[in-house]
Amino acid sequence: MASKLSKDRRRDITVGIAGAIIGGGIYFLAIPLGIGEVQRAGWLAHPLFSRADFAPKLWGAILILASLAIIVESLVGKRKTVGAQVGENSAYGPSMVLIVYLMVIIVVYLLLFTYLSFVLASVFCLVAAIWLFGYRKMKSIAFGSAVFSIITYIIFKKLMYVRFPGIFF
Amino acid sequence: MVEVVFSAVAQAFSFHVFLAITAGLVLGIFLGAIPGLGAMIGIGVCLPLTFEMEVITAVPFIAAVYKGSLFGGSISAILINTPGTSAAAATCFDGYPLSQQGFSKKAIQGALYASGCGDMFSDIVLVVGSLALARVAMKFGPPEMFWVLVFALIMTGSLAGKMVSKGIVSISIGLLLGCVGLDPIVSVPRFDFIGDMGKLEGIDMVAFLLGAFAISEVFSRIETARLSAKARGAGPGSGSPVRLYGPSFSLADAKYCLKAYLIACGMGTLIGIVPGMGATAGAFISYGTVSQAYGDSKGRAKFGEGNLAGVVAAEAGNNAVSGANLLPLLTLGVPGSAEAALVLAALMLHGVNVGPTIFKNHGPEIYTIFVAFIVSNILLIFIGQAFIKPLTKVLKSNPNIVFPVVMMICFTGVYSLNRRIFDMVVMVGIGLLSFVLRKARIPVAPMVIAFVLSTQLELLFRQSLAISIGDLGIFVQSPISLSMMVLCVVSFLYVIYRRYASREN
Repeated sequence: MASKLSKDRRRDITVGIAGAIIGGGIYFLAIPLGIGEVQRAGWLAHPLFSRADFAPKLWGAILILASLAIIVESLVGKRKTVGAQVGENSAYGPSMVLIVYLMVIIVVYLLLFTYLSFVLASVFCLVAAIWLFGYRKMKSIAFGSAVFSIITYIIFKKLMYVRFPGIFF
Repeated sequence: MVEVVFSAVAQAFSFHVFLAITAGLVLGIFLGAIPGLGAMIGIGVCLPLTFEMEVITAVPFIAAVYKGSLFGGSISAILINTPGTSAAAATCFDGYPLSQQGFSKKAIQGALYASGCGDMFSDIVLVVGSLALARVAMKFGPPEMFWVLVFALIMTGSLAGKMVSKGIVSISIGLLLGCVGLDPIVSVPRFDFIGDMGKLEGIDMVAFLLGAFAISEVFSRIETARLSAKARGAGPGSGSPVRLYGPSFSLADAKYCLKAYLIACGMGTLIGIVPGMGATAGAFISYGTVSQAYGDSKGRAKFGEGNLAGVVAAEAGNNAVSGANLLPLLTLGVPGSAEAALVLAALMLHGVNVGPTIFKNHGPEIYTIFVAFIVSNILLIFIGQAFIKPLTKVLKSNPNIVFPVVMMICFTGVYSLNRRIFDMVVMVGIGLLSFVLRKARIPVAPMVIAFVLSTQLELLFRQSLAISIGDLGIFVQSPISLSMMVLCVVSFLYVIYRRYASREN
């Protein structure tokens, strides 16, 4: 339990530091981050009204304070037990390799979708993702993916008049 | 007057009106259950079908599509953590955990009855108090609405888990993501390094919600699905180890959820009356308020971990908006939401001019439409019931196939909204962010709620300052503003006190 507790604290401190860095970045680098302001005269020049960076800076400042609070709570707070959160299965935490594979599939899908064809991209993505999810009946996967992609294409293209990018259908 | 009402009832129960409502509900549930589509696209697709209809058939048909899609969105939210519509996103918080625990049927029935109740309540309010309530709603200006949204954000404190600071971090991230795009007042681009499209229109709400719920769930489920596939041989039917349907919604559940029904119906109706606040805000604000009202919910799961009252609150809240949204539309000619604007289009296509004289000029038609709305609420319960088993079977059948298919539908649905690849990239990015937050044990729900309310919150704050020429006193000037501010302060202190009291215990 002791090692688990310290692991949780380490994680919370990391979260706090990351949050403070992001919040600080937004607060102090608002203009380089693409948040400008408009020069106005009279009451329209009121800083709370005219400045586009007012809200991002305010939220950034709150993020810094909350992140620092996490660090302080992690360092000085008492914690008795550590429970799993909703939707998080500690026994089967997804490994990073699978996440990376899925990301590669998504990137290839987006490229195929943008430059080649909706149907081809969908068939590729479905076959690869279903395979990655552990289903191994290749013929069923290929046939089902093709049917699903064509039906989706017909619904969106012909019934809802969605124009897809790509040089083929 | 009595004659008009009897005639309206007779017309509303005529075969063609009945058929139109049934078709509208079926279409609405189906379109609502598909992630990325939802009420707007549903009504948009169905509007041309009404050209040949009479107004007393066309408007109930469109309203049925709207009501059906609001319920349909909750089915996929409960079963696979993928909200079919943005209004159903709050249903994910408790609906999905309930489904994971083997209570899919109970959760969907709870959502269905809550949808029916929310609709019925707001429609009755629409019929009875149209003009009086519209006048009250007009007293809620930007400062008053600003406090309503602050109150909603404070209410999300109940979802923060053991550390309030983590909840505030989550809220800050949501508010910051809501700032991407053009500034709502001076139209200056913010965070324009993200991309050209983001510079202008910002992050699309549907892309954000599907990323936060559906895509992050796909990331989370990838390894568990592999393990369950290996354990069961990866054949058809190798699905979730929990019960597929589970027990039904019982009378005891209804008693437990009674408070949630009442609060959410009231909140949803109030939010629906105020122009500019849609079903999504109605669901989130109702959910936050109900979760505070139930407190620590002894003997039941906590909110966010599978509490049935959470499902009821979100669904009653979003459906209660649907009828109330038509109130300012019919009486003042102000559409309360994008969906109400489409209903306005349907009315205008059939020669009905909305506004204060609507009851004088089109009394019989409007009363027939009101009765038809009530008929559609009752029909929704029966038609929705018929959809539960087949949709549960399809969506829960085999996670190895269902999750990749859901991912594909999300991609196609998100692209079809604005025809932007940027939205697809944003959806994946938000999915990854939500996945990382879940791993860091930071609750995702406050981030989602803050994102939904972010633009409106900033806009109302700065609009108030524009009205008062920069004087912050406007936020405490009217009795409504002052009361709301006191309520916010008391609620904030109460949330902090309860977190620390529960930690000490």
